[in-house]
Amino acid sequence: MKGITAMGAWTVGKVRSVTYLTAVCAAVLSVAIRPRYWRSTVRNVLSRQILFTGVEATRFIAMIALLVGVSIVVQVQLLLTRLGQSEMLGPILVAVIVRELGPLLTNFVVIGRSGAAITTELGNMKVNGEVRLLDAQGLDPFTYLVLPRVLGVMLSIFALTIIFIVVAFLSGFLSGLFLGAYTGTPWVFIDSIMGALTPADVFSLFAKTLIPGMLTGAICCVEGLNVEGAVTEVPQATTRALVRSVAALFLVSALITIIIFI
Amino acid sequence: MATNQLSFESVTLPATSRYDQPIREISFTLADGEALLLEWRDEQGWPTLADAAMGLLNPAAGRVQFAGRAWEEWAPDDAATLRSRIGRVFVDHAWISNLDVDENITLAQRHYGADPATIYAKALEVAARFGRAELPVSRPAWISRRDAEICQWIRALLAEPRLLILEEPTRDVSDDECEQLVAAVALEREKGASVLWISDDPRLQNNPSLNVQVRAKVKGDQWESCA
Repeated sequence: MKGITAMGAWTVGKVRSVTYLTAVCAAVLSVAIRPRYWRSTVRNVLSRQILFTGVEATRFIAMIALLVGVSIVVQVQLLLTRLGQSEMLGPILVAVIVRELGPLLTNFVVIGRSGAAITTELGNMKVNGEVRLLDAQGLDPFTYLVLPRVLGVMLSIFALTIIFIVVAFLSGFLSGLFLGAYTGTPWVFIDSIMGALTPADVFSLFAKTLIPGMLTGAICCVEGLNVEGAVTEVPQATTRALVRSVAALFLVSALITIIIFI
Repeated sequence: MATNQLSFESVTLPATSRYDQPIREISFTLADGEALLLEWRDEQGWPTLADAAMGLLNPAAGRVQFAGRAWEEWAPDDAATLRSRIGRVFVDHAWISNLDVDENITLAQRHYGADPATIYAKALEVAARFGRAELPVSRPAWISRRDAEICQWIRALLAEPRLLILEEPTRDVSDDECEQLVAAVALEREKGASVLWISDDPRLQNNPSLNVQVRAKVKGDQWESCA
């Protein structure tokens, strides 16, 4: 009996937290389309968030993409050349890099780098009374703290994923040429990839960057703002935010793949 | 012009984890330009009363009215706009730590559409009343308590306040600076601002220039009106 009660309580808790998260995401979208909420201070926070999450992560993302290009793209080139299936280069690279690795790795980096920072920052602000201070000055904490962070994370992940894909293909092509794995011209390489891209891939790219990005931003903000009372809660909230963000990322990615490609 | 009247009608505020000092049955009314001086030695209770006056804390019983309506009757956006016109000196947690002090001072006014250059110039004008030629451009953690207190005054007065809530605003300043604050507040009262002084500083308690309409003391959770 105790086991069933515990399972019921766990299920109710999960449903509640998913409902709450969905409500936060819906509120972000509904507030974001109303210009009156985009005051200069909120735009300022958004630009700082994009600077931190997007611009400052560019070098790290480019480095990972470069290594992915060198290891994976070259391997695919070598394998297909041996099998005499060179015409499959574009479709396989699109399936691996554009559909899965690009969005997944970029989301991972942003969760680890910015998600943790957001939860820690908001958790400390809550403990230090800074959220109440904003309220007391007439600044809605949701509009000032949550909205720009969620949108900043979404936009940054999308832009970083594009950078990741371009750098991975470029480094894969150049290292393939250098190692003798690829012998065609750049135009043939580009043509094979562009020819393999379908509207579903473009849709998948948007969905696998913007939706997990929104969830990551919302989860990290909610966990940070749920901290009550003690600074010692902040690391626990951060761990919880990261675990939930990663779980949401895999779940959403799998669902999108199933819906679009299967 | 809309009234700036603040009234507490038999307000009881419960103790919570954040507000650990309960208050029972407070009643007072402040008309435009009037001031209340509250002597209250237990500083744990100050944020409770101040937050209730700003509509951030709902009373367990009674009603808090500001500008003609109970706080819960204002739409959330209107209530937030009203709060931006309440100048407050906080007894604790007064700053957003990842913004510089000058950004903190002008934050609410910039949020409500003031031109940054204009509001900065206005902040310098207010600062000049307290003998300051410029605003600190460092993080709040790096300025002295005295400077932080005076910067709180500047922020409170910059709001062209309809209500001033001053929680122990003279703890770290000299006698001269204390007089400068009293004079600056008097100027705001002439413009119609109501003022809630919460302090046990004798320099304020015995200051005739304060010209308060209501004096009160809080002992334990009991409110005693003195005049």
